[in-house]
Amino acid sequence: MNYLKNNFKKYVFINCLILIYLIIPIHTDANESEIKPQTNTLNKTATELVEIIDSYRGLSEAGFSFDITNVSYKADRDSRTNQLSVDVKTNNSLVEFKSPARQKGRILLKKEDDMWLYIPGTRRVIRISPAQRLLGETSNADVTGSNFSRDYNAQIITTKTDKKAEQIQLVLTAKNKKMSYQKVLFWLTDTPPFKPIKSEYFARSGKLLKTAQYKAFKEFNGELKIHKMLLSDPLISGSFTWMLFDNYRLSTLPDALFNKEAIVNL
Amino acid sequence: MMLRISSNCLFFIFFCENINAQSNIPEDPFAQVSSIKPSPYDHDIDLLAYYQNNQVNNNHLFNPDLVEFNSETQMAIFDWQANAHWKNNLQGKSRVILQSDKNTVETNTNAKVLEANLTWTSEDYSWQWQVGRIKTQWSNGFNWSLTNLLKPYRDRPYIDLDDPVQQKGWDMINVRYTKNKWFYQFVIAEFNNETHKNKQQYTARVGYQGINDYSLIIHKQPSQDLDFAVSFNRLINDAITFKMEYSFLHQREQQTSSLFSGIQKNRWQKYLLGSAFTSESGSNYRLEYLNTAHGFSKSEWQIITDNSTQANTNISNNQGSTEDYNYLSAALNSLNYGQLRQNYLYFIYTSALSNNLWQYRQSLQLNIDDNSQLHRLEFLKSWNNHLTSRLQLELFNGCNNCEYGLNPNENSIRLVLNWAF
Repeated sequence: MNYLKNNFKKYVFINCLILIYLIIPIHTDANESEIKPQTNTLNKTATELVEIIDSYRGLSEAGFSFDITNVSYKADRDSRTNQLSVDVKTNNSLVEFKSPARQKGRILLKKEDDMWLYIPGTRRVIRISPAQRLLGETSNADVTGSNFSRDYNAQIITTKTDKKAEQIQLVLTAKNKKMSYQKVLFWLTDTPPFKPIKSEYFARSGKLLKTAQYKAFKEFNGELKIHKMLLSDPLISGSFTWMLFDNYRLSTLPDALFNKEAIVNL
Repeated sequence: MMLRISSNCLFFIFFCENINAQSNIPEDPFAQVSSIKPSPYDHDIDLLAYYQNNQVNNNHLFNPDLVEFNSETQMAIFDWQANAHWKNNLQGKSRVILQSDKNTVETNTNAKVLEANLTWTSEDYSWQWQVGRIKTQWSNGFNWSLTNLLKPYRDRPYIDLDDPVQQKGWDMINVRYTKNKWFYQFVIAEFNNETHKNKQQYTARVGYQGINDYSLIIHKQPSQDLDFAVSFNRLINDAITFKMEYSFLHQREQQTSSLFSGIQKNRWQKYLLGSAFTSESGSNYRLEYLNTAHGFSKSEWQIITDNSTQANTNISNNQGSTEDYNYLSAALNSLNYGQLRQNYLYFIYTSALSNNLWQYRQSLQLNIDDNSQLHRLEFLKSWNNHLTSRLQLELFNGCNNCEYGLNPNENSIRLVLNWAF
């Protein structure tokens, strides 16, 4: 019996060594990915692909509105739900907090890089920074979204392992140090309509801060938009946020609406 | 044999990985979530109640046991806010409170209309006309609001965060025009004080909203030259904001005529510099410096403390005259009119919201001129989607003739409950 036990341990040890041996070359391959700024098989440049990514979040000249429902999970506590109503036009967005009741009526205005928060109880509009958090683990920048075309340089990365998965991988590097995420990795399908699959967000230090998985899409006015997204925080075990983007609708959104003076009277 | 164990081992590891992944990642929850339904009419009700216990300081330079302050205070507020839209560009808003105060001496109940107004907005949102009672907020300051030029005594949040009177608006006509990043505003508002009844005050505002954010406010009160204020703020980087405010008034906030004579000056200015920083963990830090000429200078303060010491001694020795009582009353009232001195520092730390929706705030307001301090510690907790609470401790620390040493409370504890329906 002892003989069997000792031999089993020995076999497991050997197997694990083999396993480590097998894994290392795979990671080595992944690390040796080739950066190819040129086009993919469908002649899309990195810049064009980033514009496609932006279009899935709705960054376009025409104003439209949608609702976001966030359900956040953490280990050892119940899930929490909040609902937001969002107006978007080019680089501007207005986010109104609809629930929970304790946050209802707050409005977050994003005008390019600048953000203001309206607090209904005191009628104050204060400038806030993108790094501030109004929704627990979700930063302001996450809620209002990023304009990747404007703020990031993109390159297509092709890895030997990605080819079989029929995915395009992009690396987005922030054009300036002000951005919350200095590097973003994006995986898209290799064929039209180039749906986002997953993205990873990195801090300046290189630390992975957040992972997003794009779970479902919905057609709006002939264009596909993100419908369901799952955010996970690799730094906190068990921390996830499901985001539902729904009720997309065309809206007449005058430019003057995206003004800190106007949001007091919405 | 090795190959079989190896493959088993691989299968086992991947199986464990899958089990872990499946158990950790929550399933799509959106089948049960109801969507947001927009409505032309909306209203919110909040109930706020607090209990405060004070360790009272009834014997100091300005108050030799003459005025007895309350050791206990209770307040309950029913706050109803309604908002109705007609068509797309006409809107009505109101905010009404029912307030009940109880202290060791008396109980008061009253209703107040904090706001009630009509807003018309042009189709392109560039024009807004408003009439009615409106609460304006023009300042970006966190602790001090220099550019709120309409009756600033209603706007001192550091004195009492829960005082609903601070949210009361002014009866006014308000016209605003927005073009690109610029806005222009003109306000005619009610004006009432001891010498002017049912008069009007006028304000013109112009501002630019962008990376650099500016505003200029020109204000005209009855029988007085023009006041003005400017503000500037900008985002330094992803985590840091900076702001500056300046005001130039022709009326001093402190009422000095009963305290000393010989002041001929009628120009009073103050300025504020502030910055906020958010760390990667979500904690927030704010620092503000205030310089105000409205507060008493060193020589003025010396006169006040000398006169108060004399009056206090006379009263304590049962030799107090009417002038002595009046003088101490005026000195004690000066605590209500803003800062007593001229240089202040304010620092606040706000922790990130915890997993269980706890938050901690700690602030310090330092009077640099006399080194007295006001410390405030707050524990905030959201118990569910509706109920929040705040436990607040205030500690006033300073010498017998220093600003925070003269406060009627040496320290206080307040428990605030808020239910949002």
